[in-house]
Amino acid sequence: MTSSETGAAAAATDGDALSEETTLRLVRTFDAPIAMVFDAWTVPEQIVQWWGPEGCHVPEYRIDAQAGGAWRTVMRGPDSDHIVSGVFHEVSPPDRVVFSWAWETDGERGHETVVSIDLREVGGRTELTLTQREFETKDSCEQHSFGWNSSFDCLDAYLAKE
Amino acid sequence: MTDHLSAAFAALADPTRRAILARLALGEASVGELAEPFDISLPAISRHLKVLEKARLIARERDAQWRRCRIEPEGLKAAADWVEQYRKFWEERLDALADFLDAKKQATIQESKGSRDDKQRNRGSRRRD
Repeated sequence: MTSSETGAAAAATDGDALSEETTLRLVRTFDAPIAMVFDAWTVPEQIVQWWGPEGCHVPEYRIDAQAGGAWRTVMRGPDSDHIVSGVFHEVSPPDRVVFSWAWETDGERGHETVVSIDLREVGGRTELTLTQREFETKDSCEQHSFGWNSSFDCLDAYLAKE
Repeated sequence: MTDHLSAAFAALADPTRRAILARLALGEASVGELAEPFDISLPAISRHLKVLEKARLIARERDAQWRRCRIEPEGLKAAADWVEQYRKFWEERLDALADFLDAKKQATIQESKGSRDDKQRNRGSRRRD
């Protein structure tokens, strides 16, 4: 949004319902301590053990689980590879991980979304809230082709904002 | 994901465009009517409408002098279906994560039991010596 368009913010509240429609939120409780669940999302050798969908395994992966670190996993099914990649925006033990996410088709990354994992300890168990939403774009990000570089641009913008 | 679905999500990522869609959900409107609640220029509104049209979220009358805009429900449905696909994907992943955590917990219990047994065995063997 350019500065001349900031006046639209007041009128934007009507659009919030639409925003909710394009946001996925799941809550799940795991019978495991919070540190164990956090590790399962941030230790590469652990992530790949549960990452691949039914019938897939993860023969190739590169996961740099720190803020600004890139990640990419190849899920190999019986017929085809499903490749997904992104950048970690936030890795904050013990309770928060945020990363970008896009499927790759023929070497091109598709629409990018952001996945947030929030953990909460509840009586020795761990409540996990997963939120996936469309990129909260600045115009500069939006006009890019959502390529690999734009991830870093958006990340820079994100970090500058913090 | 197909290209116009990508376009739909990119289009939906902007609050002004979401507000325009929310207005069009109430019925057709002209560019001027759409611009009214916003403190932005008509050309800026036109740019937003072009993005929405390209993403197949709205349609505009081709020939009329005052090109009225209307919402394209199919485009929005595609976006909602996409969210549902991800719901299924993550539900399955979280099931797998639960299994992984159970196995890991079992392994940890076995490990600590094993090391206790080792200690006992070591003590035992020392006693036999």
